[in-house]
Amino acid sequence: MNTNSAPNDALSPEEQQERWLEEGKAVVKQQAFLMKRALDNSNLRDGLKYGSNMLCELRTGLLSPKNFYELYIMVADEMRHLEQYFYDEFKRGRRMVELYELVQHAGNIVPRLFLLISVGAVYVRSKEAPARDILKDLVEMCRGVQHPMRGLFLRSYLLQCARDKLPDVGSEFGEEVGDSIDFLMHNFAEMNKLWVRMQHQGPVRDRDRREKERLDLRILVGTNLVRLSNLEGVDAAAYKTLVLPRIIEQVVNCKDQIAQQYLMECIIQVFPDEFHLETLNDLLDAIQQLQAGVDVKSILVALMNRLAAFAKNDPSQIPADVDMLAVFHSHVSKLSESNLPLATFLDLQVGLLNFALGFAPGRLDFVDGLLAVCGTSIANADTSRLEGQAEQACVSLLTAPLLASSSPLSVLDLEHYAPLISYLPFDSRKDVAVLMTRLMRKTSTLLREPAHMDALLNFIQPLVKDVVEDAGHADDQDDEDVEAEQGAVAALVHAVTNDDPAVVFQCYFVARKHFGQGGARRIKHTLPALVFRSLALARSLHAREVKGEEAGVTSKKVFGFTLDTIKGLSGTEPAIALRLFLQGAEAANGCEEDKIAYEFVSQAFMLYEDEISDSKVQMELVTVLSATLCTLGRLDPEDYDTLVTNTTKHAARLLKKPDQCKAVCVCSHLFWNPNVKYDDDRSFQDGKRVLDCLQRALKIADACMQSGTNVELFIDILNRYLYYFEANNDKITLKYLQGLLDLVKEHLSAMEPGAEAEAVKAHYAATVGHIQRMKDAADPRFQELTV
Amino acid sequence: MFSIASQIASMAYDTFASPWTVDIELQDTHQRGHTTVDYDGTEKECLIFGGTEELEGVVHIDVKEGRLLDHEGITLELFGRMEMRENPDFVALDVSTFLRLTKDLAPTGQLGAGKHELEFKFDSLNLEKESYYGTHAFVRYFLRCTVTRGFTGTIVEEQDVVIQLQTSSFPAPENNPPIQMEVGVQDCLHIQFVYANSHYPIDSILTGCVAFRVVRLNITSMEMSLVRVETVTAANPSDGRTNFLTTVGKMEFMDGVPARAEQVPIRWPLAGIPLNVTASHPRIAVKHMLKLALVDEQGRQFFKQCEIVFHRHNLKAPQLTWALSEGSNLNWKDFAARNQKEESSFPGLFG
Repeated sequence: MNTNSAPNDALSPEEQQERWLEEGKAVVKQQAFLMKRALDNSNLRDGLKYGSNMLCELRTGLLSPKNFYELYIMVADEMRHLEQYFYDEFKRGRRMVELYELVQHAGNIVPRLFLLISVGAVYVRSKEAPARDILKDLVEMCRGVQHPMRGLFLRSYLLQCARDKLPDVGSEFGEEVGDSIDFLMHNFAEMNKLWVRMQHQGPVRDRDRREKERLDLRILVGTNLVRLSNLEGVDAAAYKTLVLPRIIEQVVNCKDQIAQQYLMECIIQVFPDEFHLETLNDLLDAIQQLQAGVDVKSILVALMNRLAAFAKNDPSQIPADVDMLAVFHSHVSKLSESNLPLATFLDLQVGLLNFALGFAPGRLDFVDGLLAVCGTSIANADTSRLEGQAEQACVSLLTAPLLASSSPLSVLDLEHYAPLISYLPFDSRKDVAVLMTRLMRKTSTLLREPAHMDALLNFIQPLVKDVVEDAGHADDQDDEDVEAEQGAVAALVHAVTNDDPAVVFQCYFVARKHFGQGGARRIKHTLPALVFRSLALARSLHAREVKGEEAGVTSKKVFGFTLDTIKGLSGTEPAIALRLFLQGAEAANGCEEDKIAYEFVSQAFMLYEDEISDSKVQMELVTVLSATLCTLGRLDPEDYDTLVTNTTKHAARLLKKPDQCKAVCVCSHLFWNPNVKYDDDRSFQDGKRVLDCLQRALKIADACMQSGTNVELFIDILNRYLYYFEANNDKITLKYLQGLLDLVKEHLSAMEPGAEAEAVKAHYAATVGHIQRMKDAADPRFQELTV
Repeated sequence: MFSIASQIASMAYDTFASPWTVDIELQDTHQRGHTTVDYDGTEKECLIFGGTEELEGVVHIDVKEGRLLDHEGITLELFGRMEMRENPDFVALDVSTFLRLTKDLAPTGQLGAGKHELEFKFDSLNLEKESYYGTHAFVRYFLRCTVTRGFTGTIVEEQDVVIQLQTSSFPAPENNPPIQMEVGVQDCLHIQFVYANSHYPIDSILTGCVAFRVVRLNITSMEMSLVRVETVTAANPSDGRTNFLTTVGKMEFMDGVPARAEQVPIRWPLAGIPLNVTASHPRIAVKHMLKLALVDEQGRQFFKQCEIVFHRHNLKAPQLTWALSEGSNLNWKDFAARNQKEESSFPGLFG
C-alpha cells in the first residue's frame, strides 16, 4: 500500500488514474468487508463507521469521471447491504427517524449524505413519514455537495434510491404525482447547474478534456428526465403544464451549449411523441431561444424524424387541427434565413423532407417545393459537385422520397427531383442510381411511357453509360459487380408494358439509344435482354398481323431493330451475338419470315467465320448452329442447302479430331431434315449425304489416336447408324452396322480397365440392349444382325 | 531470617492494604443516569441529579476480620465548589466553596470487624449552579465522608455527583431570534448566513443556511465548529481574565466551490457533542461560539463566529456519536416543523 501511494512521476496520466482507481477500490473492498462483518454481528456503530470510511473514498478529486463512476458503482453496490440492514432494523422495531438522525452525525458531508439517502430510502419504505417530505428533505440536503462531479454522483444515487419510491398514480407511497415532479425537477435543476458549472472550473487549457468529461456525465443529468417520463401520472396535460415549461426554463436559462444540445435531444427522445405533438409550439419556441453554438439543426431533425416515424406507424394519432407541415416549414424557413452553411441547410431540409414524407406521404407537391428550394441553394453555392456532409444530405434528399414512395416513377416525375442528382459526385450518384433500379424491381413498377424510360435511364446514368466528367471511376469494378448492376438495369427492359405495341417498341428504342452508349462491359448484359424482349414483341406483332389487326409498327420493323441491336454486340461479344442471331432466326422462322431468318443465320455465319477463333467455342457454336438449322423449316431448300453445306464444312474444319468427328455426326442430321420441304412437298432427306457424313466421321474416328475416345466415338457413330437404319435411310445397310459392332467389340476387349472403360462399356451395353430389344420385337430388319 | 522478613512484609502489606474500606453509595445507583467527567485529568463516573432532588444514600464501612476502627466521629458533607486556575501554568486550583452541608453520621466510638452501614439524606436542596467540568475551571459537587482519627490518620472518601438543571429561562420564540449575518472579504467572498435560533437546547438540532453572494475564491469546503470558551476571572479582578478555548465539535457542511446564489443547508444534530449549558458564575463563565469556516484551495481559512446560547431541557448524559441507542425523541413532525420555521422566518433566503 505504501509503495503504491507514493507519487511516481514516471507514470503517464492514464497509469496514474489507473493506480488511483486501484487504490480506491482496494480501500472500498476492505472497508466494505469490515462493514458487512460488523453488520453481521449487529454492530450498527461499527457498521456505520466502516461504511462511512468506505464512502470517504468518494471524496476523491483525483479520478476522471469514468474511473469515478467505476468506484461509485462499487460503493453503491456495497451500500445495498447497509440499506438492507437499515430495513432489518426497521423490521425489528427501530424507528426510522432515529436512524435518520443518527447518520447525520457523520462529520464529512459526502459520506453523511450518502448514508442519509440510503436511510431515507428505507424511511420512505417504512411509511413512518410521507415520502414527499423525506424526498424533499433529501434533495434539499444534497445542496451541501457543490463539487460538480461528486454532486452529480450523489444526486444520481438519490435518483437511484428513490427510483421505486416516487409518489405516483397507483403508487403505495402517495398518489400525488406533483410531489414527484417537484422532487425530480428540483434534482434536475441542481444537477444541471452542477453539470454546467464543470465547464467553468479549472484552467482554460483543459477545456477539451473538460468537455469530454462532461459528455461522459451527461447521462446522469438525463436520468431525471427519464424518471419524469416514467411517471404514470404525467399525462399529456400534466406534461404540457407542469413538466415541459419547467424543463425548458432550466434548459434555456442555463445558457450552456453542451447542456442545451443534450437536454433538448433528451427531451425529444425520452418523452412520448403524443406529448410532442401537444407541445410542438412550446418546444419549437424553446429551440429558437438556444445559444448560438447549439446545433439546432440536428435537434429539429431529430424531432421531425421522431414525429414522422410516429405518424407513419399510427396516422390516426395526428391531431387534425394542427398543420404540422406548415408549423415546421415556418420554423425551418426562419432558421434558414440566417446564413446557414449549405450542409446544415440541406440537413434541415432533409429533416423536413422526412417529416413531410412521414406525415403527409401524399404531398409530393410539398416535396417538390422543398427540392426546388434545395436545388436553388445548391446552384447558388458555387460548387459543381457536393462533398462531405452536404453530399450526404443531397443523397438523402434523393433517396428519402424514393424509399417513402411506393412508386419510384412518380418521384422521378417531380420537376425538381432528377436535376439534383447532377450535383453529386460519381460514387453517390451511382448509389442513388442503384437504389432506384433496386426499388423499381422491388415495387414491380411498370414502365409504360418512352418518356419514363428516357428519364429513368438519364437518372441512373452512372449505371448506363460513362461520361467524360466521371473518367477514372468505373474501371475498378470487377465483373461480378458489373453483372449484378447491369442485371438490374436490364430488368428495366422487362418492366416495359403497354397495350400498344408501338409504344413498347418506342420504349425499346429509347432503351437501346441509352444502352448503346454503355460500352462493352455493359451492353453484354443489357442488350440481350432487349433482344429477347424485342423478339417477343415481334412474335406478338406477328400474331396480330395474322389476325389482320393493325398496329403502329410491323413485326418486320422489329426484326430489323433486333438485327441492328445484335449487330451492336457482334464487335465485342461475337459468341453471344451469334447465339442471339440464331434466336432471331428461330423467331423469324416462327413468324414465317424466311428471308429474315436467312438474314439472321447468314449474319451468324459471318460472325462465325470472321470472329470466332477459339476451337472450343467453335465446337459449341457448330453444334448450336446445326441444332438451330434443324428447326428452321421455313427456309427455302436452296438456301437451306447452302447453309447446311457450310455448316458441315465448318464442322469438318474443327481443330480437334474428336470434335470434328462429333460435329460431323451432328451435321449428318442436317441432311435428313423432315421439316424442310421442297415445293413438291418432298422432305430434304438425302440418304447419300448422310452416309457420307457418317463415313467421314468413321474415318476421323479411326484417325483418332486416343483409344478410349476412339471407342466412344465408334459407339457414338454406331448409334447414328442405328438411328438412320431405323429411320429407313436406304443407304444405311446392315453390313455397316455389323462391321461397326464387330469393330467396337474388338476395341472394347483391348481397353484398359478403369472408370472410362466402364462408361464406354455401359454405353455399348445399352446400345446392344437396344438392338436385342428390336430383335426380340421381331423387327425383321434386325434379325440378321448378330451381336 | 527469611521467615522474619516475610512476616514483616506481610505486616506491611496488611498495614498498607488498609484494613478498612469506606464507600459512599447513593440511592437508585442503577436506575439513574450517569456520565463520565474529566476532572483535571482524572476520569470519573458520576450519577446525575437534578437541582432539587434529594441526595440519599448509605456509607458502607467494611472493617477487616480481627481489626477495630477507633474514630473521633464520622461525618458526611456535601460540597459545592468552584475550582479554577487563572493561569494554565499553575498547578494548584483556586478553590471557592459556595456550598457545604454537614451530616454527623456517628459520634466518637469504635467500629468492630464487619460491615457497617450509615444512612444519610440531604433534602430540601435547591442547587442553583450546574456542574461543570472544563479545562481549567470546574463547578463540582461532591460528597465527602470523613472518619476523624486524630494522629493515626483521618480517613476521607469523596464522590462527585453531577448536578444538571432544567432550564427555567429558555426564551419564548419571539425572544429567540435567528442569528443572521452578512460577512465577506471585499470583492472576493461575500456570504450571508442564518442560524434558526440564538438559543438551543443542548441536545437539539442546529439548523441554518449559508447563502453565497460573491464567490471569487476557489473554496474547497465549508465546515463549522463549536468552540467552548471558558473564562476564568482572576481572584483579584484587576488581574484580568483568561479564556480557555476548546473545540468540542466539528462538522463539514459543504464540499466544492459553490456558485453565486447557491444556498447550502445546515443541519447539525447536537446530541453526542460534549456541550455545556451556557453559564456565568462569579469567577467562571462558559459559553459557546459557533464558528463558520470556509477553506480555499491554498488552505486559507475564512471564518466568522458568533455565540450560541445553550440550555438544558432534559437531564441526560451526552451520548456518544454513532451510539445513540435510544435516539432522539424527535419525530418527523419536528423536522417538518423546523423546515417550515426556517422558510417562514427568512423569506430573504428561502423565498
